[in-house]
Amino acid sequence: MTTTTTRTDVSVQLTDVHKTYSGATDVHALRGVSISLPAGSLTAVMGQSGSGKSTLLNCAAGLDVPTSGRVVIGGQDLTGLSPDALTRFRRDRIGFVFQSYNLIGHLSVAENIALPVLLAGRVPDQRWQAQLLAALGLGGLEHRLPGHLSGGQAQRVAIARALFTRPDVVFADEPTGALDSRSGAQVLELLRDTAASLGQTVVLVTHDSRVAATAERVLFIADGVIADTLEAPTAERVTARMLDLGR
Amino acid sequence: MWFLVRRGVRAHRGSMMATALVLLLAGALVSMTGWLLVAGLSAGPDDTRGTELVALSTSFAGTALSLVVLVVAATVTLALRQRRRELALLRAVGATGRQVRRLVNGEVLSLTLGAAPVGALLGIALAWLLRPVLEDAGFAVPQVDPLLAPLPVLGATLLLVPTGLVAARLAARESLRLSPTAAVGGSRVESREVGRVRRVSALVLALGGLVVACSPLFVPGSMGAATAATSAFLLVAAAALAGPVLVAWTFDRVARVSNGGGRSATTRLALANVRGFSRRLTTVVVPLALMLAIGTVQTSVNDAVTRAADQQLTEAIGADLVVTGPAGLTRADVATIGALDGVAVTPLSAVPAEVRTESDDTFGEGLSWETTGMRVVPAATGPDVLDPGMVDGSLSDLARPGTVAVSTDARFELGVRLGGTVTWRHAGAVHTSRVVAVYERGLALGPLLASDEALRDTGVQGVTDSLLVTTPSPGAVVGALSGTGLVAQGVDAYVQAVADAAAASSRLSSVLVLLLLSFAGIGAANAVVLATSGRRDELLLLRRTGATRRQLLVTTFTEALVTGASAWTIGVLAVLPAVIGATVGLLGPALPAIDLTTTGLLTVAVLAIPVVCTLATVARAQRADSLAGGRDDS
Repeated sequence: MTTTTTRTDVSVQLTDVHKTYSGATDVHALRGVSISLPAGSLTAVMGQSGSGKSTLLNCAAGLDVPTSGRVVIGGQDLTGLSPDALTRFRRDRIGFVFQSYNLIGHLSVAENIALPVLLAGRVPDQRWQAQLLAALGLGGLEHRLPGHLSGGQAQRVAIARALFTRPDVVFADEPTGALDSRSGAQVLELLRDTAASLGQTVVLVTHDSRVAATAERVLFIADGVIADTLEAPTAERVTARMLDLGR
Repeated sequence: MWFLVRRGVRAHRGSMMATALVLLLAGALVSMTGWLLVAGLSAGPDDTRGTELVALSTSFAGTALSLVVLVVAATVTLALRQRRRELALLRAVGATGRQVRRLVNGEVLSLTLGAAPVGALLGIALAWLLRPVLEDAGFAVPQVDPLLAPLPVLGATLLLVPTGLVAARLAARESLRLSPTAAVGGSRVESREVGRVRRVSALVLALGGLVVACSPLFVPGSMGAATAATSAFLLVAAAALAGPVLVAWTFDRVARVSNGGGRSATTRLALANVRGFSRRLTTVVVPLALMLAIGTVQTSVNDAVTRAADQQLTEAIGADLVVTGPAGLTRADVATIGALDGVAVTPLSAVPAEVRTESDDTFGEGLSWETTGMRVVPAATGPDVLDPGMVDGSLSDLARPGTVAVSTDARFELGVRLGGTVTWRHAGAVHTSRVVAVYERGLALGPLLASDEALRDTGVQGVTDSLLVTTPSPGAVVGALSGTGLVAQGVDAYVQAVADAAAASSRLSSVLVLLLLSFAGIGAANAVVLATSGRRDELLLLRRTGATRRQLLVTTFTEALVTGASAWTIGVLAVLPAVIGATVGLLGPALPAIDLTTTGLLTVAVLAIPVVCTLATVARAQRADSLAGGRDDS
């Protein structure tokens, strides 16, 4: 196995990434996606249901392995890494926010947030955890179990967990999808501000034009390929592009 | 990682308790068997009580250990399957495969090391409670050597730890083989794919099971029947491995048929659940099928052996009457009856003996000698009076000193041939006899036949326990013996009396089978409760989607019935080759010797356990949900 590490200002680079799910009928979720996202940028990914958004995010974040093509995150080529090496890299350098929170039900808020660090065998930085809890409005909830949190609170815990290791890139798969518009806006603002203050690259998948409009650029995906890119988007322009794609 | 182990154990205490209960009972069963074995070995090589107990415990151990391994594996698998989503989440958050394995191993190890030794101590108490039953059956339990006393506890722990760990590793592998996202998504639906290794193993086990079932055709007597009985385990294990494919295949077809018919929503839902969760169903079905298989195969093979022994005894005795006495017959009794007008008598004696089965003492002296009986007949006995079914040589060959005849079963078991020697001992003295004849009615006459002449040099004398009488007027003999305390009866009545005496001493066998069935039954009930309680979210979702309480109960009832029926079918299919093999091997072409009462009771149990446990768990979950916040009517 050979891995290459190069210094670059590009934080996320995908080159001709294909992903096919085998079955009775093969499903080609990604058909040659190539993107290059600068460090510290905020990018939204949009597309119709089944267009390949989540697959793109999972492949870019190392949660899934592409059928072919190359994924480079922060200079580290993920191609050919063993599953455990990939897990360790993901744990230290990538944060992921799932749409359905994915918190461990029997661990407290504090333990859920510190889990990636605990799994790495390191001692969690208590001061940093307190800062994150305060910044995300979770102060006083450290010892609660996820079952006793509201949807917005649970998603903020998931964001805190994704940010706790100070990753290079944070991927978020419809982080506001399960929240009401007020909680969603609040969560998004927190994610954007915290990531910006840490200089992190953020890639988020969304269905919401208003959410996409807060990004620096929007990638539109259709049938497994990047169909369009919109720089400095507004909600109206995003909506218009989405309507074009739907035709 | 230990904090995750501790939290995991605490959070999943329900399923952990269920697993611990099965581990505890498994520890008890293994340790009880081990204790009997150790007691046998403690008696020393010269103590007949020891060799008898060693033989009993080793034959019981085969079935008990197979059962323990399969039930423990099924329980651990089921308990961990409920947590696939949690394991997948851990991986998505950054746990490596090794960490997930360590977490799972840590939990299973803590449980096993906690439950197995406690169970093992209970097993020793159980062995103590078993003493009266053993004594009734003619066994005596010697004092256990204090040095050997820890062995059963150690043995139980050493067996259960690797069993639990292997099952845990296989269960965790399901989550680890997939990418974290696929594992998180897949944890809600089950894969129906079965790996190549698993498919090949299932095929090998199934073929092995069928070959073993045919062993009575090649291995004579009760040994062949006992070997055939193990085929049921191999076939249930094969079904456990191929289960998801079999279940999916069967219910795909059922569903296809049901699409055309106007089945109710609850039936459709039940069939869809069974089809979609074929792995879950398989894990529940295995302990139930095992319960049916063990009970049916043990009682049916015992029946076949008894029937074969009766048949052989009827065919062997050509005399008109058989005379027996409560304490055997004295020389005077024999002389008196022999003096009756027109009467010819043939005395049959029994000599308790042990025969050497091993050529070396690798496993200890106690395992080299097997307790048996030697039947002594006059060498001049004609086949019209007693026909052992000679296949080589004749009874008259036993007129030479130092000779013996062996049954075909014993010839196979001892590995001797005509002209070879058999080493045996009686009252501490070891003797060697040359094999001069081989006979086939070993189930009726025992494994060794000798004559007074053959035993002359050894000084061994048997006690006459029955007298074969040939007479033109049986009624006169019966009349002459009235009031003497001796009983003269026709061959059929004598065979019946022998069978009745054997049945009375089979209480031990029934108690041991009952112990195995209880363990399998508790394992099965536990598996059903585990599988049902793991479906709480699914049932709640159905309730919220519009299913009424009654519909949920009917759906789960139908599923439970399908589970029971599947277990019954697999159990019966697994048992049939063994029963047919044993019947044909022992009795020739005949109707399979199935113990209908036992099979009927087990059928009721196999159907009732899933239904009762499922409905009780669902009702309890619904009550808890409605109490928790009125979700019942939402």
